[in-house]
Amino acid sequence: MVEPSYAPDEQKAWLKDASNAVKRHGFYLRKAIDDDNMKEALRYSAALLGELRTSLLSPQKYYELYMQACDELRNLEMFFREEQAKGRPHADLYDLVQHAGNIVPRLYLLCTAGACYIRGGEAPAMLILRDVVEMCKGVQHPTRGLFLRAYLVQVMRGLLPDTGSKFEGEEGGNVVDALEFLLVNFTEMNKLWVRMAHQGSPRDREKRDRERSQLSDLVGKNLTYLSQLDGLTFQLYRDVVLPRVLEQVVSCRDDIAQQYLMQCVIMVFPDEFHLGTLQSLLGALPQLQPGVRVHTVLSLLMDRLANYAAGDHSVVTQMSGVDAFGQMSGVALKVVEQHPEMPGADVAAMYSALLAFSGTVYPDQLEYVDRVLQTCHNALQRRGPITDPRAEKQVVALLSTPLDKYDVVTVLGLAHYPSVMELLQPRVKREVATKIVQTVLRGGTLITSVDQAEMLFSFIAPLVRDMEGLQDELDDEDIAEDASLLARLVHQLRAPGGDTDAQYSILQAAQRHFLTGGPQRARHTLTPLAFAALQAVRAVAAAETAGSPPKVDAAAWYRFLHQTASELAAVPAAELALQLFLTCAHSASEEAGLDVTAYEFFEQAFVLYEESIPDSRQEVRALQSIMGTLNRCYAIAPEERAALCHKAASYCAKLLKRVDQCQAVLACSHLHWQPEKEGKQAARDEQAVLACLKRALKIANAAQQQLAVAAKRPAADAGLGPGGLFVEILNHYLYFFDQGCQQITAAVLQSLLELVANEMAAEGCRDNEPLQAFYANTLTHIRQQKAKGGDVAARYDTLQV
Amino acid sequence: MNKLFGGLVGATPCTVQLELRPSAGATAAGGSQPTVTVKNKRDEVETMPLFANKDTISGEVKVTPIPGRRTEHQGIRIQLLGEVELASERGHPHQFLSLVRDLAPPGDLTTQASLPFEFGSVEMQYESYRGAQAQVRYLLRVTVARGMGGSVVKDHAFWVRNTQEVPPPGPPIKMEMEVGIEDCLHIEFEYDRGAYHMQDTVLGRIHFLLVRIKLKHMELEIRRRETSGAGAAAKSESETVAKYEIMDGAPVRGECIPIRLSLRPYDLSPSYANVFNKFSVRYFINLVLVDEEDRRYFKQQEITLYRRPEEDPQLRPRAARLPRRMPSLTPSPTPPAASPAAAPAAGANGGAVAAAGAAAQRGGASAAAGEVAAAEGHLMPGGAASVGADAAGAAAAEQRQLEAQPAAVQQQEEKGPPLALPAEPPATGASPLGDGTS
Repeated sequence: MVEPSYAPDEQKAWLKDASNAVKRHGFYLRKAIDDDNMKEALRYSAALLGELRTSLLSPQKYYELYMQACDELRNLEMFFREEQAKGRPHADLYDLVQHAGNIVPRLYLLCTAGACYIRGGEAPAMLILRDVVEMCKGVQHPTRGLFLRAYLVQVMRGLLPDTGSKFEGEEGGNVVDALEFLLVNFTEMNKLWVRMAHQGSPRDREKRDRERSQLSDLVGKNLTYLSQLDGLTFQLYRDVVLPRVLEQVVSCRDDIAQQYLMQCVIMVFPDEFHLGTLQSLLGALPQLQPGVRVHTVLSLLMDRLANYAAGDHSVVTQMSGVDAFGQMSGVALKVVEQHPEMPGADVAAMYSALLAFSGTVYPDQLEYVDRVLQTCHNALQRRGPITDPRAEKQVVALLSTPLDKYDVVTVLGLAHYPSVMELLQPRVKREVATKIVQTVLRGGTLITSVDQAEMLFSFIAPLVRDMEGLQDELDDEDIAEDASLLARLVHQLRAPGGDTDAQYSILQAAQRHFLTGGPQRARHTLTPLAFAALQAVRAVAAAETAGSPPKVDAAAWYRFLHQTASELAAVPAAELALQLFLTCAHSASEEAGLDVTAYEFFEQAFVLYEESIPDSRQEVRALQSIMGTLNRCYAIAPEERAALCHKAASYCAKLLKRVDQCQAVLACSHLHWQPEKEGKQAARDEQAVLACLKRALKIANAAQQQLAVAAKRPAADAGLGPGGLFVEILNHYLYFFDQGCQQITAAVLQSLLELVANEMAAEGCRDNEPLQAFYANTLTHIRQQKAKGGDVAARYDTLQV
Repeated sequence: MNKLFGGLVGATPCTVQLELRPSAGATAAGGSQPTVTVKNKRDEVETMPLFANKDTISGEVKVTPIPGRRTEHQGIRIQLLGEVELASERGHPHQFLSLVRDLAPPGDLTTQASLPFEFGSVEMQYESYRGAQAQVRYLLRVTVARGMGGSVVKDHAFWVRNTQEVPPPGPPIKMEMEVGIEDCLHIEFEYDRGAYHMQDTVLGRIHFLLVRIKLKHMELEIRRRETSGAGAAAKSESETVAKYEIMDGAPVRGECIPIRLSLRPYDLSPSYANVFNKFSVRYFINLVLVDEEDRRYFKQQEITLYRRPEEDPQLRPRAARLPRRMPSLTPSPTPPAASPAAAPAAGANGGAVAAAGAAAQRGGASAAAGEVAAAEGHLMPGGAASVGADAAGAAAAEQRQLEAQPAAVQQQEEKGPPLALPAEPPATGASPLGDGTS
């Protein structure tokens, strides 16, 4: 019987027996009460309460029994209350119940009688309270004692000499006595509660801890009642209640109790009390056991204060008055120092809470954030690199908190942010970096100076380039993801007020960083960078035109662009680079009017075309782009232009497929016929146009013949097929005819129309619906032009459809 | 014989009646002579008139002959006797008081004769007492003397209680006690006084200085020791008249357990140092600690019980009715220097530290049985189901020590619950909470 085994089914049986006995005695008790027989009533209530002497039940089962007994005791209490009216003083009753030989029933009866004694006004409340709480010391068994004292506070709850209560008075005592009662009871209960931990074998420790946690509320009730006293002023709280409670909490040296009670204290007492007693409250924290999760306690307190401050602004000044932040960080530091074995995760969690607190209460005090980071860094550093996943998570949270609350750039500027970040493993660093970039993007924060950019890039280095120990963990997809984040980030790099010089240095810095990232990233990052530069060039060119050239002139910008595009080409990403060169060429020609530069870009594009475009499809696309760009570039000198055009034309011939060739030649025709543009000299060469068109026609014929050789119908998905080329050629003729090209006369058109009509009627084309539609649309266009009237109609007049 | 003579002279030639007049004190208090109810050995209740030392006992003897017959006698006298009878010498009481008044000279009675008598200011120094080993009784014996052994003798018992001077309260009993193996259990206990009146409350506390064993519970016992004979022939027997649990569970070092034991519900007498050189009655307060293996550690202290003049509860100030406690102990344990002071007291009280074991408990098997039974009866009145660990523990202890236990329990059950105190209302003015002097 030394240590009850607490077997579940036996438990049930025991509880059943005991509760049956309670019911039986309860029945006789009520009968005795009905008969107004005090002697019998006491006898049966003692028997009933005797059931509570059991050691067999686990706390939970005991609780059930206790509740049952309490129900029965209520009857007895009512009976006791009537005693006075019957002329029998409660003093006698109070004495009488103490004759019970067994202590547990006796003390339950004493509590009940004591409550009536006070309620009847026969005795000063203070005296009875002191007496009962002292006598209850007789029960030293943890479970029984806890429940007994829980019963005591429960029956006495309304009878305390609280301020304004009718039990207050010279004899009855005042709120101080009420406090004293609750405090003494609290202390005793806590002792019993703590003692529970040391009973039984260490084997059952876990189970016992669980049971103890179930009983925590019994102890906490005392604190709740304390906080509910009307007379509890701040002064009393500060001078009496808190010191006593804390002393007990600290001295009990028990993990569960300390954890629960500290949280309880923070929860039950009002915010303003905490604010006023911050120092003592916080002073207790470093003295707690190492096993106590101080950070949860601290965060609870900080959350409460933060909420308090959020609700009432004057509180913030008050908090500054007591240097709430300083105290809290001091405590955090002390806690860390005194518990060197505290896991990093807890340290980080505590500091995160502190950071959240300072963020809510002092949104403008960035130095606090820095201080937190500094101390946190110091604390974590001693624990070596952070490898525990939980700790990593906490540190990431810690680093993210200020990002959400403050401007990212400012946060990154804090001296100790990087040092904390340094503690992390590369993998986690990447995570943080991602978070930073995402925050920047989400918040639309602009990075407005080189310094900021440099700083940012140093933080997000894991994204920008390969890190030691991280290569193996990342696959291409991850890298692409990182790079695309960076690509998005480029657009946040923007010098204020359109300062292109500053922008130049920022972009240069970005470029430098991006180039360290290796080809895999550069593929994604350089393009946006170039476009950002192009955007700036536009402003630079405009400024130069206006006569106030910035320090970094357009030429410099184009050098930058050239370099960027070349790097891109070296990745290798020829197609992208080619497009970029063309875009730059167009920009140089049209925005800056730098023909030499434009030519250089073209040249590079052509070189790329020749050397690096491996695929015929890409070739077609690239050639189309080249010709499209060239068509729009007006600033290039005629000879150079001729050279480029010539080169482009020669590329056309070198294409593999007839269809591609034909289409390229058609496009080539436009190189000799730039559209009119205001203030620009459009290059026009009707002969060359016609030559191109004719060549196209020839190629189309050849294509047609080739098809016959193959003796196959064009595949259904081949689109328009070679037949379509004729319609396309017709369309080009019509375009130039519309544009007023003199070489293309109505007669030429007429013959072409007939040729096409024949082709369309041919077997291969009749069934090709898209082709027929294309052709019909073209004819419709001609008819519409005819119907338009005026000059146009006059030119079309002779055409016969 | 009676039958034989009855044919000749009648079974009783006359009847004798005795009527007592209220004593002077009782008259002053307002009427009839107070009475007392006493239980005899068979638990039958007797009601007797109550007197005190130096009372004048007076009254009238009425001798009525059988109507129509003449009763011849050789004189009528009344005796006032005080006797001590020891259980070992049953039937041979020792008279310590014998007063005689002759009421009538030899002669004849034809009608009822009323014969007044008076014993003025009788010296009755010993109180009436009925114990297991000895009793003190007082009686008025009326003898109608007749020849040939035909005397008519009629005894009228009465009860004597003497209030005493309040003895000096004496210093509080305070001592340290170390039990079991050294450095195992070290306690310091304290009772507020050494002398209590019979309605008093014993206050005290136990301070645990060192606890290395797991205690289960702790209780106080009031033990009565009757010692008869003297010198080498002295014979003592103890019985436990009260058992009162004062602690449940295992305390830790530094714990201080309060004691408050009301003496009122128990059947006690004052301590008698010496009754006619025949016997003495002493009371002890016994602190018993029981550990989880049911080993018992105990420490006995003599206390002096005395009878104090009754007082009217209604006249007592309200404050005196409030509960009393020992003043709280100062947090720091008593320094060792204080213990020598307590040691001589321990020696004087003859209390030797007794550790676990039946031998020390061996005062008398039957008495011990009574003690356990008394506890049971008290806790669970009327034979109510006894539950809990303590009952089991007590039972184990019983088995170890006591043979006569079943009978004792039975007897106890007949006695009824001492908790049911109101059955004997405190008409005598017992205060509920002890004396009002403090």
